Amino acid sequence: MCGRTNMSIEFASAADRPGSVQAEEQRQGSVRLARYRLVLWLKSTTPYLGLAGIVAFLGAWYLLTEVLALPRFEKLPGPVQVWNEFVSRDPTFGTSMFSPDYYKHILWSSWRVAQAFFLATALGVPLGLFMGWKRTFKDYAFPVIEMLRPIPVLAWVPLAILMMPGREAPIIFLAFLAAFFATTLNTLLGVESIDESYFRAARCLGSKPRHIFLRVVVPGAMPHIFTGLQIGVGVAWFSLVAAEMVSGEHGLGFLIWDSYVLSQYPVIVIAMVTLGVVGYLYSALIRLVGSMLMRWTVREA
Amino acid sequence: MTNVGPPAAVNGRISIRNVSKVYDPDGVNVLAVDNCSLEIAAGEFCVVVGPSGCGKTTLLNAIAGFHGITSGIIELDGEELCSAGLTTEPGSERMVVFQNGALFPWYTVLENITYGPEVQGRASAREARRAASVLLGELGLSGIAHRYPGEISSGMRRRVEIARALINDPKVLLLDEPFRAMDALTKGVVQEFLLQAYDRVRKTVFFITHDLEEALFLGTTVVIMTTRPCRVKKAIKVDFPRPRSYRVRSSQRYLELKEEVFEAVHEEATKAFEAGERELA
Repeated sequence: MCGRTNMSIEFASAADRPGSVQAEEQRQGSVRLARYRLVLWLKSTTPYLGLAGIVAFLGAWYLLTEVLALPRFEKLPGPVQVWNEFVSRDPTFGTSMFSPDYYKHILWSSWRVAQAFFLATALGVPLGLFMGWKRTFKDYAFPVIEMLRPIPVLAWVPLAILMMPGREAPIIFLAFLAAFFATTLNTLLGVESIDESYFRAARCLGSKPRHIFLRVVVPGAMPHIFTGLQIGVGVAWFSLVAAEMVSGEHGLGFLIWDSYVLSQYPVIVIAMVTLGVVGYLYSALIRLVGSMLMRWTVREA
Repeated sequence: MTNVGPPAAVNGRISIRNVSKVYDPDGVNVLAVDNCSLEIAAGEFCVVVGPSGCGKTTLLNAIAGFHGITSGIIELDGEELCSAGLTTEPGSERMVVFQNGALFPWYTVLENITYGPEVQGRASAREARRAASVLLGELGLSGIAHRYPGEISSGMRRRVEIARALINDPKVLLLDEPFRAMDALTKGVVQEFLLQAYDRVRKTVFFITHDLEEALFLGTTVVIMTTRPCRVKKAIKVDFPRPRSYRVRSSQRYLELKEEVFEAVHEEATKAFEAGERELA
C-alpha cells in the first residue's frame, strides 16, 4: 500500500470473498428477526386494542350522526353515507373512487407538495449544513431565519399573492415556506449534534475540509435531516390545504371548501380521509428513503 | 504472539520540555500544565497516570494538535510540533484513540479502516480495502468487517479503532483512557490485543489511564503526574519482558512495582481531593 509501512500488509485476492457471504448471512438474519418480531406483535394485545379503538371511534361517529342524529351532528355526513358515496359508480355529489375528478384533485395536490418539498429540501438542507459547518455563516444567517420562522405561514398569504405570479406559485410558495424552516433548522441541529470527537478523529486520519464535510458532516447530520424532512412534508401538506382553500381551482383543499360551499358534505369527509392517507404515504416514502440511506441506524435497532 | 523480535522503532521520539498551559475560562486563569518535561524514546510504551483533571489530557491534546500550549516546546523526532506560537495540525503520524471511541457509526468496520488511506490519497479505494481486509484478518477481526460499529461490542469497537489507527502507520499512538468504561474481563482481552499489536509494530505509545494495574501491565514506563498543575512526579521503569501475558500480574516484582506506583499516586490523589478540585476528566 505504501512504502513506509512496516506491518506485513500484502494484497490478498481472496480477501473480498468472505465479505459477500457474510453480507448474505446478515441479510437472512435480519429477515428472520423481522418475522419473529411480527409474530410476537400479533400474539400481543397491541394490534387488537388498536383495532377496538378504531371500531369504537367509527361506532360513536355512526351513532351520533346517522342513528341518533343529535342536534349539531345531524348535518354531518355519517360513516355509512360517506362510504356509500365513495364506492358508488354514480355518486350523488359527483366524487367517488370511480370519478376521474377525484384522482385529478389528488394529483394536483400531490404535485404541488412534491414541488414545494423538493424546493425546501434543495435549499434547506444545504443551508442548514453550511450554517452548521461555518460558524460565521451561522452568525450571519441564523437571526434572519429565527425572525421569520415564528410568523405563521397563513400570515404570508397576502404577500405571497403579491409577490408570486399566477395562481400556482403562491400556493407552492406557502407550502414551501413551512417545509423550508423545518428542514433548515433540523439540518442545522443535526450538524451541531455531531460529537466533537468525530471531527477530531477525521482530522487525525488526514482529512481535508471537503472530506470532513462529505464524510462526517453530511452522514452525521443525516438522522436529523430526515426528521426535518418528515416534519417538513407534514407542514407542507398543512399549509397547502389552507392555501388551496384560499385560492385554488384544483386540489384536495379546494375540494373540501368547494363541497362546503355547495353543501356536498360527504365529499368533505372523503377529501379529509384522502389527505390523511396521501400524507401518510408521503411520510412513509421519506422514511423508506431514509432507512435506505442510513442503514447503520436500522441495523443498530 | 510472534517468535521473531519486534522491529526496533526508528522514529517516534517525543520530547516535552518545560511545557505550560493556561486555560482561560470565564476570565479566570487556570494553570493546567506547569513546566512539565518528559522524554519518550522511540518505540516506548509510556503510560501516564495521575489524579482526575490533572492535565494529562491537555498534554495529549497538545501532542495531537487539537490545541496549543502557552509556553515550552514539544518535539517529535527533533522537529518542533508545538510551542507558544505554533500548533501543528492533527495528522496521521499522530493517531489518537479516544476515551469514548470515535469510530464513525455511519461506516462499516471496513470502511472505517479504509478511511485514512483513502482521504490521504495513499491508496485507491480498492487497494485500501485489500490492505484493510488483510489487517483485519491478522488481528482476528475478519468476521465483523461488514458490520456497523453500533452492532458490535464495546471491546470489539476498541480493537477496530486501534486497527484504524495502525493502518496509517503512525509514528505515535495516543490513547486517552481508551478502556475506561469497560468491564474487567473485556478490558483484559482488549489490553492483550493492544500488547500484541504493540509487539508487532512497536510504535511509540502515549497512554493515559487511571487504572494502575493497567499501567503496569502495559507500560515500559509509568509516569506519575502531580495534581493540577500537571508536572512529572515520578517515572518508573517497568522491566517485565515482552511479549507479556496476564501472568506477570501474579509475580513478586509486579507487586513491588504496584506498591511503589500506588504510593506515589495515592499521595497526589489525596492532595487533589483535599484541594476539592472539580473532576474534569
